[in-house]
Amino acid sequence: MEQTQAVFPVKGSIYTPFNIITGIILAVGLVLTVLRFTGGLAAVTNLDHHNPWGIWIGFDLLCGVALAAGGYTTSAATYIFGLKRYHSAVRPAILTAFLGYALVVLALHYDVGRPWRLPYPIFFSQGTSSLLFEVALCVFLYLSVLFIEFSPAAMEWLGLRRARQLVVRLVLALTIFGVILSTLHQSSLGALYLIAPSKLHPLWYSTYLALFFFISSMFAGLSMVIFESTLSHRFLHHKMDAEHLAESDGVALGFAKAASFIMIGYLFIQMIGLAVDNDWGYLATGWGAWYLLELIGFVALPAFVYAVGVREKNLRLIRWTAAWTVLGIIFNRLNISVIAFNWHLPSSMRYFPSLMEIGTTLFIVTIGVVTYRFIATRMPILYAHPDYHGEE
Amino acid sequence: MGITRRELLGWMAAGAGAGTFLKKNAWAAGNHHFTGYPKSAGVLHDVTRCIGCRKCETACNRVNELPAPETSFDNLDVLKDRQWLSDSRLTVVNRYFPAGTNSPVYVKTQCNHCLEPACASACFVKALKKQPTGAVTYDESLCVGCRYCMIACPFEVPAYEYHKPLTPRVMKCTLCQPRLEKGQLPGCVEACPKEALTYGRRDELIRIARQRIDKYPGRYIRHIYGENEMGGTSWLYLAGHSFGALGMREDLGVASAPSLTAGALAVVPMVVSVGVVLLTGIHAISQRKDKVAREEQQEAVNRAREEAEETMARKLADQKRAADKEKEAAIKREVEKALAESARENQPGDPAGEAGGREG
Amino acid sequence: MVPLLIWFSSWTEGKGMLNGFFRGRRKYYVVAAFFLLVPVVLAAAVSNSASGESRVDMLEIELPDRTKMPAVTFLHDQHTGAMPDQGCETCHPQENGKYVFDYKKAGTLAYEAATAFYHDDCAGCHRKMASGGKEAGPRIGQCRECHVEETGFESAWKPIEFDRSLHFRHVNAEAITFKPEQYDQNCGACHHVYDEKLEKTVYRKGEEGSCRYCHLEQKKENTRSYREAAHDSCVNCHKGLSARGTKTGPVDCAGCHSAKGQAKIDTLKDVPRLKTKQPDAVLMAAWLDEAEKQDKLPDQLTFPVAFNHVGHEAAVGSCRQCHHASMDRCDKCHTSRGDKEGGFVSLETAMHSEKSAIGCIGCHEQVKEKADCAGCHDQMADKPFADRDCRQCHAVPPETLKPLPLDAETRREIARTVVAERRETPERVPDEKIPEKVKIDIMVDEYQAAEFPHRKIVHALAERTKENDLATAFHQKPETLCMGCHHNSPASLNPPRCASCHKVAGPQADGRPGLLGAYHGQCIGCHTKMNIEKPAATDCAACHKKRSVETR
Repeated sequence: MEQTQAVFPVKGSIYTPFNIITGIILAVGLVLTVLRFTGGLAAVTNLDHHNPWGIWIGFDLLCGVALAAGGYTTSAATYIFGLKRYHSAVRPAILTAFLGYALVVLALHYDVGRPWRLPYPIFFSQGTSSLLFEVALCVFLYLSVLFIEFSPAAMEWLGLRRARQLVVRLVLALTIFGVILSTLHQSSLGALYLIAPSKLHPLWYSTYLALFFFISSMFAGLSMVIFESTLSHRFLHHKMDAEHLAESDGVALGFAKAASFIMIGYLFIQMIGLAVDNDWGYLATGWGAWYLLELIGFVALPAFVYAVGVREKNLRLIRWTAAWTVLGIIFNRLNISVIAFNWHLPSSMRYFPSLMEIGTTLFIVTIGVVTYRFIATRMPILYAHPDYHGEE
Repeated sequence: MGITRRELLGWMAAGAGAGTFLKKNAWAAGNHHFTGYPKSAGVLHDVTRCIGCRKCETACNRVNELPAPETSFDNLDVLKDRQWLSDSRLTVVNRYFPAGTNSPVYVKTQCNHCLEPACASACFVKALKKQPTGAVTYDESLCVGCRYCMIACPFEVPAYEYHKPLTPRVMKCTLCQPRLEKGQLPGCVEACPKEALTYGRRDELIRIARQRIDKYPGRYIRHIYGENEMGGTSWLYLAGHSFGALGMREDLGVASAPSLTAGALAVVPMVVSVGVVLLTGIHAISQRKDKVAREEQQEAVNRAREEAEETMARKLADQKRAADKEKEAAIKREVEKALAESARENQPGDPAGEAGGREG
Repeated sequence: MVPLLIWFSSWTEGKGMLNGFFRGRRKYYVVAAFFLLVPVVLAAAVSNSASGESRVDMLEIELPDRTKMPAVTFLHDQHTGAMPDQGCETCHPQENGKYVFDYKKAGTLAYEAATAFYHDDCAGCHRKMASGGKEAGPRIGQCRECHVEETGFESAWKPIEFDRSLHFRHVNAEAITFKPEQYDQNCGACHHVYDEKLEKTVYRKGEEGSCRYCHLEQKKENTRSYREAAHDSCVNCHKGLSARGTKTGPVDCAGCHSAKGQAKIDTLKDVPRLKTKQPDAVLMAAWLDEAEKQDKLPDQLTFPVAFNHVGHEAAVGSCRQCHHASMDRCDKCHTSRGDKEGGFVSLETAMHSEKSAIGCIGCHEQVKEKADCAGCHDQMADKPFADRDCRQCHAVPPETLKPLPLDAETRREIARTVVAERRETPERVPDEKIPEKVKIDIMVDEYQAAEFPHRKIVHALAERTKENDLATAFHQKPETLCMGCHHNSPASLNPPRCASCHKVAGPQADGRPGLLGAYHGQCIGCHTKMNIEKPAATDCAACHKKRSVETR
């Protein structure tokens, strides 16, 4: 109860510890924004001609998209596979996904040289030979899909009954479209690196990169839903209705089981990737140890522990493992984008993010957290709106 | 919406088939090999002729109106450090001391204007294009600044104006396209006093390079760098030492960069076609499964009710029969009792016997 | 791994073992620790090698049938240097007053015995040294200190050529004697041949040849390898003399096989001719022996080559340069057909191969790579063999081959005469025929006209080539030297200007550079190849001053 009080004070004062900390981060973020747009990327980042992509792409874009995959996995489970017991998890997952993708686009505004030209590839000059075009198009479309999927919650809050009814009818089509778009852009993010085999370490580079990203996004999303439901339970418990509370353990167990299976499958396809390129020799190097740490320490082990948790119905174990898996996904995406990328360059030429880059990333994530809190406390995300209860 | 598994598979096959018609050519799977636009030009760099005078850098700086360098191009001491391309240096000269020589070897580096450029393939707004002249040009009016071209380039050529907040550009050698259009030579080619740079048609340059190797076999390694690397480049190199010792990567292979991503791109329409049908199908199957489950449940409920009713009816009938039997038995008993009573009353001394008898 | 653990877990639980191994939270830590150890262990497996110090004394103790451990690299000079007061007899046994350069004859032992011997001996000595308080090598048990895959050392070992200078010094050395009562020269001190009947080596006067004719790189039957033989002969002799206090050659590895050691060896400039029965000049043609037998000239014949044997003797490091397998005539083994005794190399290939330094053309090509020659010759394109002028060498006209018979003595006489007719000193173009300075102003732009010191350069070329007999032999005409720059046109005292063929506009389709490239290429190329440091290639003003912006 003290934790929620830290966030939502009983007395109604605005100066809670959470608000103060996020306030500072947001203020610093605004300063950094000004610096970025007056001094250019050089003023804020450690990017150079050999390392054009840093953590704004490596973390904000790649991890952001991977961890927002909960949206399509949850809605696919509920609406396509018809597993109604996950219904209460859909709205929080869609909200997380929507905010996640929106923040990805926000981060791109910082990273890209001329952000006002971001619509160019979609509306103006389509570079269809590029996988980045693929990513841009699908992210643009999917963000729209997510917005529409999220809108019923807002409409319920605003009382727009007819509009809501119209949108609700589109749910299945939107979900299918969303799953396809997600498949495409999750895999295309991996496929982005197909063009640079000479720069990415052979243990991470594979012709199957697209598939690896797609499969890992599935268990990333599932784990993120569990992780973020853990956080919601701790801080937003009072906003949850009976259905939500009743289903939440089932969601964790079911998603953990699914994630475990998928992770074992991922392990096998990684081994196929190694076999196809005959990369076994690299395993005995320093990089090999790092790769095995990622694969065994952050995929195989959590998969095993998930399975144990499901069998013993140990929810605490599952929730910790979800956080562990999320870390593993972040580890994997960072490995591919900044750690094992340009591995052949001498250490003096390698990239490490500047404090200001990290600050901006923190700023963007904080915006997400704050917005989530705003929406979840006001709109029917963690509970069903009483007026529409019973309707889909 | 009911759909059987068989129907689903049929729809999927149709979707896959439709997907194959969506793309134009099977470039991903075919054995197509782009050998460059006809008459496309290039430059042959004979590394054995380069003396590291940096006149090419001076000319490039002048022709492209780049900012003045930190140290003048006349200063050759800078060559003791590795020089890198940057947003204000579109070409650099480097000095190497390969093993087994006392004398330095100089190499000029710049954009190689690949036949199938990785940067042009990577650019999602078509800001980088391969021209029929051979040059790979950059259109700053389209560039969004995503820097994927810098990721893609295997030679690590494109540089970026990170210090510019609102108008940053990708900077790389343009093969002096504007000068070519006027019939002039690229700035560096014109400036080189040793004719270490030769401009001409790419196929001609390859012929000239092979001729030079045959005429001076002791002078050159028998390999033209750029003839096949990354699918072939317009900038070709001849050297007397292994290219690896001259800062040039020899592990890039001969596959062009676009061919590496062609497979992933070709799968997109397939995913859309198959995905729509597959996902709709799964949904339909799961709906049907639920419906059938509901129907079966209903049926089971009905059956159970029927059975219960039947049992009830039977029980009732049994009970009724039993009740009837009892009633009959009771009546019989009463009649017998009445008869016995009347018989008793009909005996002598029965003044009320007529009454009793008549009453029976 | 994971499925295994899962199976293991259920198995132990089923058996009620270890309280079911995976019961309780502890199990997760154990599993986690195990998995996290794997990368750590693998990372530790990353090997790193030492930096490369260069040494010349690395001897690999290679035992036949070795399969288990990497071979040990023994550092000879390190050991001799560590025990200066101890003599070679510490490790090398003596036989007939000479050391046997095999470590205590371990080379004669079989594998098992040799291994044990080396282990006991080496480690034993190390132990003894260590107990004496000295720094010592590894002991038994420190296996991988000796048996390393990569020593991290770089070999700077250089072979030493026993050239004419060294040979002469040995011939002349008073300290070296061989049966002085019988022979007036000490050849027999080193030279021997194997007598089949006596089954031992004996000295036979007149049959001296290179050691390497019999002692090859690898040991053969009962002929020792060159290395064994040389060390046995050379080092033992040096050791013996040095023991007597005579100034003599080196006894350690570095003395002969390091660059520093070789630099210390005195080299005589003019070595007197080694007199055996060699000819002064040879008339060379494949058909001459046949002609002698038949006493008539054949219908088809190549003009013979008059080979200046004495001239070549002075030009090579040792006889082995040409007489690479024996002191015989080339055509004794290299037949016209190319038979087995010549290594399947035909006579024509042997003489004319451009790649091999043993043949005529190949050796001449190598000489042309020297700095004095390369300035001009490096810029000359390779000529296909068919385009070469055979008459440059095959110059003896058939008329001079009469009267017959052409026996050996006649042939030598003819050859001697032809050789004597050749110039011994080059003829130079008189100065008045050479322009002193040439003003090159045809392409003045950023720089002023160049004042080309034409005559100075011609003099410099003549100076640098006048001592070279090969140059003199081939530059028979004085204007041949002009063709170094005035190329691709006949030799003439009035050759065409550069601009006649090299266009200002730029390079031509046949590979001809433009005028700018031609000038800079020719001048800078020549300077680079002749190791001329001034003017530096990048010192533009040294050849042509910069033009001020106003005067442009």
